[in-house]
Amino acid sequence: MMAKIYLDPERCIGCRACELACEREHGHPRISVGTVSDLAAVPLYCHQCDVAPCVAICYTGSLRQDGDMVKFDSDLCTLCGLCLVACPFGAIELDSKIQRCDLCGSGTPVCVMTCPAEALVLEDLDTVTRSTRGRAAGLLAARLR
Amino acid sequence: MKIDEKVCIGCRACSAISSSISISEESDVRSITFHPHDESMTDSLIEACPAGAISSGLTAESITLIFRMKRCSVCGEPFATEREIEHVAARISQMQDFQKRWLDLCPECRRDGQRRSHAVPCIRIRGRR
Amino acid sequence: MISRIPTVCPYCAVGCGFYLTRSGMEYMQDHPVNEGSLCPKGNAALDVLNHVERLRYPMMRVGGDWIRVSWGEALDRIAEEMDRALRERGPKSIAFLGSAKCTNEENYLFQKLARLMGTNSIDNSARRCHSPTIIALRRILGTPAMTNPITDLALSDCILVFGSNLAENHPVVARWILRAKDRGAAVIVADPRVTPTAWLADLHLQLNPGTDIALINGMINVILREGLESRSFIKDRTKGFEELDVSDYTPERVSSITGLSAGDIVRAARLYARARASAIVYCMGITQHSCGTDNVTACANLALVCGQIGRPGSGILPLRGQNNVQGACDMGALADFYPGWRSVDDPMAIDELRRLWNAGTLPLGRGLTADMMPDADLRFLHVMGEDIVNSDPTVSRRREKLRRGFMVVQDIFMTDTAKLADLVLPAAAWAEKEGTFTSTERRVQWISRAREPPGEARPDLWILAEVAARLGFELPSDPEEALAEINQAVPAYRGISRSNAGARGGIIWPCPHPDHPGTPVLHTERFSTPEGRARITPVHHTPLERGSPEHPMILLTGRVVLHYNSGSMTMRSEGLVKRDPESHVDVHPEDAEQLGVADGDAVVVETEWGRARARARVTPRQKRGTLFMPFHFPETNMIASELLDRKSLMPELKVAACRIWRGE
Repeated sequence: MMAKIYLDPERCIGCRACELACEREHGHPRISVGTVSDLAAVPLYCHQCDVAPCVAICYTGSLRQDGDMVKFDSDLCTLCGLCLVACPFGAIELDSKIQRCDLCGSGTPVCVMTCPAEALVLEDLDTVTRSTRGRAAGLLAARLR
Repeated sequence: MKIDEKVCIGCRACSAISSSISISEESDVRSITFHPHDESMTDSLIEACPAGAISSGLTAESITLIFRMKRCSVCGEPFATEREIEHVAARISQMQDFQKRWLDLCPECRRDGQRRSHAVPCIRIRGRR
Repeated sequence: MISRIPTVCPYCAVGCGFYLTRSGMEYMQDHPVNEGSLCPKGNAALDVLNHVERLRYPMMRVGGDWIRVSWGEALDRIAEEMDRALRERGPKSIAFLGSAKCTNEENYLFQKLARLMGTNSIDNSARRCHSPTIIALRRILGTPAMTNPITDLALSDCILVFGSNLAENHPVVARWILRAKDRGAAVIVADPRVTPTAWLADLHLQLNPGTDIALINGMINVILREGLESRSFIKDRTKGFEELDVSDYTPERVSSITGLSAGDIVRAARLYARARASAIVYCMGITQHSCGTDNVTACANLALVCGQIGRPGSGILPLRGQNNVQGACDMGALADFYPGWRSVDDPMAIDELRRLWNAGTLPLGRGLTADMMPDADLRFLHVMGEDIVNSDPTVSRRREKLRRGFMVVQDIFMTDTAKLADLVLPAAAWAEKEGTFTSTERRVQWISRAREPPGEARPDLWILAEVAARLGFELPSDPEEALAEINQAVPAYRGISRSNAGARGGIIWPCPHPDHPGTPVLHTERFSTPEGRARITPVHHTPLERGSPEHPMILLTGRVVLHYNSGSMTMRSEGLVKRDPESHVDVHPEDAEQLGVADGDAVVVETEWGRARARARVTPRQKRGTLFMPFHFPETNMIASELLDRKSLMPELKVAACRIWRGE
C-alpha cells in the first residue's frame, strides 16, 4: 500500500505553514486551510482517490490511476478544466496549469515536513489506522489512571 | 475547422490551445468565440476537444456559442457550464459508488463540505468538554 | 563549497533551525526543537533576505531628501555628533536602543558602548514583552528565564497556559503540547478569547481581562483548602509561605471576579496540583498589564506552593517574542541591568565589569526606557535594528519628538523609525553575518554567514566597532572575539564558544565552563537567589476599572500567526501579506448586532489615547464586551494604553477602554 497524506483534524492549529511551504515549493499552493465555525481549522488537498472521478473524466490520460495514487502528466493536459468539475473535494485548481498535489514527487511532501503540529502525516492507511487506534487506547488508559 | 454547437460542452480546451478562440464569462453565461482560423491547427483542436465537437472544414466568419452556467446550490456562484456538468455526470455515472451530489456545488463549497466532515466531529467532542 | 548552511529562524524566540541552500531553504529534521517543522513565517523567512527594499547604502538626510554618503563620512558624523552631545549636554543627553533581533555579540558591544559613554539609557523591545518577567522571576527564582526547555512540555502531565496564544505566536511549541496530550496530559488555557490555543485545550478558562491574579489566588485557595500543596517543597525550598494569605479568594468570590464557574476554578486547581509534573506557560497576556509584575509573581507562587518546578516537565515557561530577546537581556541591553543581570543599583556587581572593561567609572541608576525617550531632552539617539515607532505606543504618538537631537538608525529596511532619522545605515540581516542568538529556552545557537549582504550593507558589529574606534576605544569587530569577552562578563555564558553553540541545537545556558553540557532544567537542587530558596511573595487582585460611560468596551491586543511584531519584515513578505492584508478588529456577534456592525464593515475604534480605522470581523471567538486588534498594524499602536506597570515600566498594552462604531 502506498503512503498518502493523512490529516488528524484534532491537531491542526490553522497556522497555514503547509500553504506557505507548498507555495514556495510549487509556485502555487495546492493545499488550503479553512476554518469551520471559526474554530476547527482543516487543510484541504488531493486525497489521491482510489477510484478517482478526475481520472474517469480525463480523456487524454493526463490524469491516470497509478497503483492507489493519481498521477498527472502536464504534457498531455489540454487545460479543459473538466477535472475541476469532477473532483468531489475541490482539490484541483487551474491557473496557467493544473494545480494538484503530487506528493512533491518523491520523499516526504513539504507540507508534512513543515507542519508544526504534526497534523499532516505521510503514511499508508493501515499505519494511520493503527496509530490512531493506539493513541486513542493509550489516552483512554491514561485518563482511567 | 467546424464546430458542432449541439455537441460542444463549452469547456476550456480549445481556447487554451488557439489564440483565435476566445472565452469570456459574464454572470450566467460563458461565451466562446471561434474566429476564422489557420487550418493547420485543426488536427490538434480535434484531438484536444473532449466532446468530439470539432471537425475539419472551412469557416469564413466568426461564430459565438453561448453556454448557460450552473450556479452552486449553496452559495449561488456560477462555476461551470451546464453542459460540462452533464458531460461529467454522464462519465462518472459509469463509476460505482458515486452519488454525484457534489456536482451541484462549486469547488469552494465542496472544499467547505469536506472541511466540515472533518471538523464537525471535532467540534462536537470539544463542545462536550 | 558547502551546499547547505545551517541557520536559525529570524522570527520568534523558539529558535527553530533550518538550512539555507544556494537558491532556497531546506528543513532540518534533526533540530531538537522544531524537528524540521517551521511555521508560516519561518517558511517565508527568505522573502526578507532577498527583498528589493533592503537598504543598500548609508544615507544622510539633507533638507527633505536622502543622499547617499560613504561609510567613512557616515561613521565620522556619528562620532562627531555623539561627541558634541556629550561635550555640550553630558551623558544624560544621549540614548541607545538595542535590538532583540540582533546577536548577543552586537547587543553586548552596543550596551558597552552606551555605558562607556556614561549612560544607562539603553533599552530593547523586551521592555514591552517580558520586563515584568525579568523583575519578578529574578527576584523570586533568581534567574529571569524559562526554567525548562520547550521539548520538556511533552513530559508534562498538566500544562497550564496563561495569556499565551502559542498556537499562533509560537506554533512549534504547540507540537510539544500536542505530544503531551497524546500521553494523556490535561491542557488548561486561560484567555478571554477563544484562540487557536484555547481550541486545543481540555479546559478553557475564558476569564475577564485583567483578573489573572484573582484566578491564580483562587486556585491556590483551593489547593491549600484541599491539602494539595507540597509541604516538603514549601519547607525545604522556599521562604515567605507564611505571608501568603489567599483565604479571601474562595472559588465563589473568584468566580464573581473572573466570570468563570467555581467548578472550573476548582477543576483547574486540582488538575494542576495533582499532576506528577505540571508546567505553567505564559506570555504577554500576563505581562502587558499595569499589574504585569504581580501577574508573573502569582504564576510563580502557584508553581512554588505545588512544588511544580525544577523537574523535567515541571516548571515555569515564559514564552519570549524575538529570536534573541532572551540574549539581548542577558547581555544587558536594558536600562536597569548590566550584562549578567547585574542591577544598575548594585555598585559591587558593576565594579567587576568596570575592571573587565578597564573603565574609569560606569553609570549607576536606571537609564531612560524607550517610553521615556521622546520626552527626554535627547541630543543623540542611536537605534540598532528596532522599529520603535511601530512597536511602542508612547513613542508612536510622540515620534516627532524623537528627532529633536541627532538620530542614527541602522536597519535592514527603511522602517518608519528610520524615516525619522538623520542618518540611516544599511545593516546585514541574520543570514549575512555571524554570531549567537539565545532562544526563549536559553538555547544559544551560533549562526553562520550564508549570504552576502546587499550593496554596502555591513554587520552591526562592524558598524559598532568603527564608531567606537572613532571615539577612541577598541571594540572587537569579530564575533568570536566578542563572544570571548561575553564569557568574562556574563557568568551563565562562561563556557559558551563557537564550537558548542555551533553544534546542532547549540547549548542551553548556564554553561559555566567549555566542557559543560549546558543546563536544560533550572532550579533542580537550589534556586539561584542569594539564599538558594525561592521567595513566595503575596500579590493581590485590584479591579481593572478601565471602562467608562464613553468607553464601555475593552480593547485587547495581540498577535496573529501570519505577521510579526511591527510588521517591518512580514509586511514585506508577499505570501504572508496576501493572506492577511489589513488591520481588523474582532467583535462578538451579539455586540456587533447591538452596535449595528456587520462582518467586513469599516469601523472606527476609539480609546482615550486615539482613534484607529479597521475592518470588523464578527466572530464568536471574541468575548462579549471586548474587542481584539492585532498590533502588527500601526493603527493599533496609535490607540494602545500608556499606563505603566510601575515595577517594570511595562505599558499596559493588553487592555484599554474603548468604543467602536461603523464608519470611515
